[in-house]
Amino acid sequence: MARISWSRIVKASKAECMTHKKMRFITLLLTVAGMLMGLAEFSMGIGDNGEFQSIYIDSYVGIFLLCTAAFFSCFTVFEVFRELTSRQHADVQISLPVSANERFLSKILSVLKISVLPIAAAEIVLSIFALMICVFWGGATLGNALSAFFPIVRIYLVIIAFTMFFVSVSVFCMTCCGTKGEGIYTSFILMFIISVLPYLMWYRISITFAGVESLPTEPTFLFYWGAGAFMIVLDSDTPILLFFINVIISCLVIAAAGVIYKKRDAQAAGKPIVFKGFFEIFMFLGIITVCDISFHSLIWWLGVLIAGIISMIIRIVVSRAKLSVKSFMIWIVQFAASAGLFFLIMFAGYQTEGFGIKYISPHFSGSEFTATISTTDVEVYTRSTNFYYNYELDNDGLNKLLDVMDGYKDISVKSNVTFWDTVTDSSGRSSYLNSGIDYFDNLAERGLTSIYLTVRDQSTDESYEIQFYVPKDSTEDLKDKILEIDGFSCDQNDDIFENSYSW
Amino acid sequence: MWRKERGTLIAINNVSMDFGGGFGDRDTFKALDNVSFQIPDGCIYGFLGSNGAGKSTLMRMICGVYKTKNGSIMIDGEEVYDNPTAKSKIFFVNDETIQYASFTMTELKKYYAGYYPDFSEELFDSLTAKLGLPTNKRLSQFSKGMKRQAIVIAGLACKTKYLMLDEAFDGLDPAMRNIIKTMIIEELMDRNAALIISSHNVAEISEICDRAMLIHKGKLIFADEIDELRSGFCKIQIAFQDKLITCDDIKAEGIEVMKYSAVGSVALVIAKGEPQTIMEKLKKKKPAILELVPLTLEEIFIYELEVRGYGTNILE
Repeated sequence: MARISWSRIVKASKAECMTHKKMRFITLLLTVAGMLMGLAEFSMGIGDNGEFQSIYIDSYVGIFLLCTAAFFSCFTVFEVFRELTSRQHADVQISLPVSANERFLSKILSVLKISVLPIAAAEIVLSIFALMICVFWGGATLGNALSAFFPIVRIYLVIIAFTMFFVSVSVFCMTCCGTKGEGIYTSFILMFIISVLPYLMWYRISITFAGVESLPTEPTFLFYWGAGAFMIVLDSDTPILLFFINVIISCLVIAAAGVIYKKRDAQAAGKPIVFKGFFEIFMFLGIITVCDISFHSLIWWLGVLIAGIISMIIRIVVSRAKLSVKSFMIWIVQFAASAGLFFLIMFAGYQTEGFGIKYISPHFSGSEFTATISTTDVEVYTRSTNFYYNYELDNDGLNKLLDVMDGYKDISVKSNVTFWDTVTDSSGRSSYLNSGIDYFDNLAERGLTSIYLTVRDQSTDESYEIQFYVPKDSTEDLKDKILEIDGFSCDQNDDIFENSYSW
Repeated sequence: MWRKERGTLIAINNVSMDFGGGFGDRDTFKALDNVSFQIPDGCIYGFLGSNGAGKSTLMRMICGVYKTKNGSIMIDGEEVYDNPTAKSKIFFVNDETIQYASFTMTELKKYYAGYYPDFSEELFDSLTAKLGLPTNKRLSQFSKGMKRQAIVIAGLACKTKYLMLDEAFDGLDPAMRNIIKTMIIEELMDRNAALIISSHNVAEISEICDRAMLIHKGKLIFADEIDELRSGFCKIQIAFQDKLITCDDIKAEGIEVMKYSAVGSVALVIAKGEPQTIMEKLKKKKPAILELVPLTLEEIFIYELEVRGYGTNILE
């Protein structure tokens, strides 16, 4: 039975691919061009002694073309799943002798064949070519060549992860929508939301409200799904495991779309939104994303206004010609509820200091610090915004410094600033959108100064970074205590405790 | 007209269907209301109905495009929705051809060959050659009639037990209509397959079908053999030498009059009931002319709908 079913899936997929030759051709064009550009830019680094050292295949144009091919997979999905939005195609495709499951799987197989396979094939060809050149002409061992090639593999894997992300979100949105227009714009908006919202929400909670920089374990797989996958490329310390988690999440989303696909019949084709739940979740996520971005960077009420206008426009578009005063009022209430829920979450996060994250975060601890420093020749760098100062302390001086800092380790980051103050006091905030999480801003509002110390053990050449906070009114006190330690000179440390973060 | 032995069938049992009422759509309407009838194996069945009556909806349900929310539709004893085995027995040609625009005839053949296990490439090629359709041109370059021919050829080549055509002869010139009809009937007769056809052209249905059903506002009006349908009505021409017989005069004889019209002293009456009984009742009045006039399916169609008020408001 399973064999017959699989045979039907393969045959249906073959027929489906045949009907989308244009999409296949465009994808192939992009991938082949990307591959050729990669090959054209390929080079090896050879040392003075003639030995193979490194490999360069990072043609930006080539990678851009492969990324474009990955993005183009969205349009392949919109075409392959057109029976979901066109009654004429539904008549033909749903009346064919395949079950809904088989039809869905055949379409996914078609998308993989049209979009993912050419990209993967181009990357494999490039990799094999590069490795062969390194081994046969560069004289590298296979191990060395593979090792040198690994950063490029990261880029390739991320492009595959991107493709799967685009495919999964597009398929999910198409199965929840009944018109192509809705399928397309919900897909693109949702891709943006998925890429930024987890990061924004997490860092608002963990950094802004909890007042900590990082946690021992963070839900990074959420940040890296979507556009965040680029972080795997940019940060070489990011575990490659994230790529697999990324792909697994995409597969799970496709599986969820499969369940939804099976539930709908051809009647849904032509209705803008098929599943109300999907649309309301989509709208809620969209509203909180815009609110959160504005909360970080713009005048907060302007962001809420923008979110409100966008949500009304989308609801008007979705309702087509069926507009009434009553429905308009309901939309306003729905928007107010979504925005209110966002502020409620933010308020709860603020009151609980990042939902308790502060208490599990790795604040500076003197004992941890002293355990790692044991030699006499130690350099201490203090950092205040962009200025670095280098002090040489002996072991005794260092211990004194640790004692001073130890006195501040339990300072609560919470101040008397109210939540409403953080909402309304936006005058000093940076006025551009992409300022990121400027937690310094929040610290300043709470009346805190952030102090960084980088300690380098000269015997082992290892460095340790320490961050801690002091209330503004204690800064002078701390300054006096540190200046008493031998090794800190007065002329150098004048700027150390300047509160660079107060606006 | 032709008839073969009847065995397995398509059974439509108490099927109802509502449209609308989804997200952002508060208006619902009943496309089908408790429809039940059977389509025997090997017949040519005509679906008749006014515009928006529910013919196409019913056809889509029969071939598993729409899910039956109330009632059931079985093909040879198997529920059709999401059932590849049942669906492999039926081929649906809908009233649009835009979905095939990017195909050439060769691609159309490959496409359906991948889905239908009994697909006959020889039959496809021979019918294509017979109708002189180009094999290397895209269907988007075909005329509407040529597209229709192409899809009908594909449907026949799939060799399914049931072939369902929704407004299939639209866009064909009279000569080509005849060729296609003959081609379909010959091909289906050879393998005892059934043809289900919907059309607004009642004369055409009457000409090729041995059974028909009439649907109006989602409700089934009748579903029977066409001969049986005709036998329930009669059309009589009646005239007296000195006077015009009125509708009330006829009704006074206990005859159920469905339509009455008069030209000069000659009255034309369509009545419900056995023709012989009606004729005997009218003979008693000793008319100068009394004769039975052949009744067409189109007349039955029009009168059945008129009785239900269809179109009368517009004319008034």
